Amino acid sequence: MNTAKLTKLALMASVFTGLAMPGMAFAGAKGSKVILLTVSEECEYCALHQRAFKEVASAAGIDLDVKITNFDAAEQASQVDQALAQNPAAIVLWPADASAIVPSLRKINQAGIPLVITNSKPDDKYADYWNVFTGPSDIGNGQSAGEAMIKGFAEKKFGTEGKIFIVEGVPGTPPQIARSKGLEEVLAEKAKGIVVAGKQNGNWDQTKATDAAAALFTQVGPEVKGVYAQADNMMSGVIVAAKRAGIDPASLVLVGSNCSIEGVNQIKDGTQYATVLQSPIDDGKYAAKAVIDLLDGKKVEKEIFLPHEIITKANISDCDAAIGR
Amino acid sequence: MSTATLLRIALLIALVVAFALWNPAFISGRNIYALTQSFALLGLVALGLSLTMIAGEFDLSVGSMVAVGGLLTLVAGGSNLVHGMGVALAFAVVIGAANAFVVNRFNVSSLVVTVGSMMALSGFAFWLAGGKVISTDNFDLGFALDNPILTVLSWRGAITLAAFLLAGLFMRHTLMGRDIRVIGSKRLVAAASGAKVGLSLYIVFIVSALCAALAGSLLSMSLASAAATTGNNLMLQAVSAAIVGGVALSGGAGSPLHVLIGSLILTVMNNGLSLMGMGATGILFANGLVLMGIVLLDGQLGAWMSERFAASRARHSA
Repeated sequence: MNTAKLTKLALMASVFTGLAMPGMAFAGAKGSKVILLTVSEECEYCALHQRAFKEVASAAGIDLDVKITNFDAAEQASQVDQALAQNPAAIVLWPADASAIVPSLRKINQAGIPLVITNSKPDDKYADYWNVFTGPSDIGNGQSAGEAMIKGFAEKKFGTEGKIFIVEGVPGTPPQIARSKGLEEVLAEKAKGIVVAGKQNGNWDQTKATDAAAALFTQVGPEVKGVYAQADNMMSGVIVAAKRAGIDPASLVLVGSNCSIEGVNQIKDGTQYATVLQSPIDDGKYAAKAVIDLLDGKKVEKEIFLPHEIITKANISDCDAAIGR
Repeated sequence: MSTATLLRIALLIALVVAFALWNPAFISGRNIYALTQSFALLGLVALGLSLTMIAGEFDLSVGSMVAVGGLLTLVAGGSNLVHGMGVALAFAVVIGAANAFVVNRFNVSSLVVTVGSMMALSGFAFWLAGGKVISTDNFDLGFALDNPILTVLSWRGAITLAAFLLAGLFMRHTLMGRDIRVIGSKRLVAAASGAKVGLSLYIVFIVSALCAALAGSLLSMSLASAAATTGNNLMLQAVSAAIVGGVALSGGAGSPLHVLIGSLILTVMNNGLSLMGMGATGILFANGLVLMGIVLLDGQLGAWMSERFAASRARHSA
């Protein structure tokens, strides 16, 4: 093949790539400059996410630059401006706030820089602004919690009927809405007899969750058979409230979420039945893998969700491994 | 220009040169644009707050006012954000006047009064937001405000610079400006010699609240959203910018020019360190070091250098 033909082929290839993602050129991951804009290094989840991302990116030979805010949307907007000034091959972004990031996403899109959103997905109506989203699916997380609840009912010989209640996160936040929705969908489909008899907000906070659970134990009464807390730390509050109400937490089907240290300890000592795994390590790895594939010109799905494995006493070691303990 | 001011300008230039040598991208047009975007927010808040400091008072409520300003713009504005901004600014005038009224009428320390208004405003912000982030689909005004003009500046940055210019002219060339400075250092003497203490207090507190609300309002347009937690760290950063610029906590010293230099030192440092890959906590640490360094410099080196200059001048004139 002569040079002219090669050039023609290369041109055609670039046209096709251009059709796939208008205005974007993919240079190959090795040696490419990628900027990761992330939210914090203080929270354990964030730190593990960042470490996993760095490991995978470094193995692929990416020239990585990390910018960290402290969940400050204004600062992140100015970091996006700065990132654009550095003209990277791609940007990976964990939004400090899924609403406030939208104008910055448009800027990145206008600059023609490939973008991977990690962990927190902004509203889908702006989906044109990013190439790939990787991270947890809160619906999926709630669905797994629903499966765990059904499994727990069977194991504790409750059959497929009984009342449960939910302790939710901050009202109006996507995980609060979607996790409950996921759980209720699965129950409606597979175990109509398990009824959500009450819901209150624990605001992702253990103390607040204790108060919420205390009120719900009173409201629903002694026939409550299970509790879904949307995060394991809130489940600690539920357990305190159950003990105060004279109920043995081990007799209930307690399903938490996130596989955090509180949940692991509670499952190991038998007070909590299950939790839903959301691995920060996978979260970081998925984002890194997506940006590498994107730069290598491979076809990448628009949305890549983390698996949400159900963790009980039987497979608690999966949880430890996923958290990196 | 005093020795202390010259030292600060030298520090600013040294920072710019050092960062540019380390990474030439630092002085690229787009990075300077990123830098002036940060300055647009911090500078405006620091400017308002520093006027109260120059008058010997303090406005702790500026951080909460930024949040309220942003939220009111979106909540009261609906589809018309300019209308919302008007509501936010009018609200700021009322709060600023209320702060000044209590400080002036009941002779209460402004630290105490504005701790109260800080908490009340923060509560109001959480009530306005209803536990959520308020967002809007009206991006146009925000994009227009953030559009680069002259490559390195946006309208948001230009508004902040204009505010500095206005405040600088006001403080330097009006009688009221001089009154504000005098009541900051010797209030009783100033009152006895006919300075308008009450009016000065009203002006500084209203301007401080207005600057904070304007900063919050412009930010909410730029981000197309607002939250009750916005501006949490801004008050401390603004105090730092004022002190780094040479505004004395004891009042009476400093000018908008000094605050401009202080704000620029902090934004240049934060931008440069971020470009070097330092995280938010590292940058906070560096801010603390610079703040302490500057205070020490003012106390020790500044005095030593002033003496040397005075001695050398005396020798020359002898």
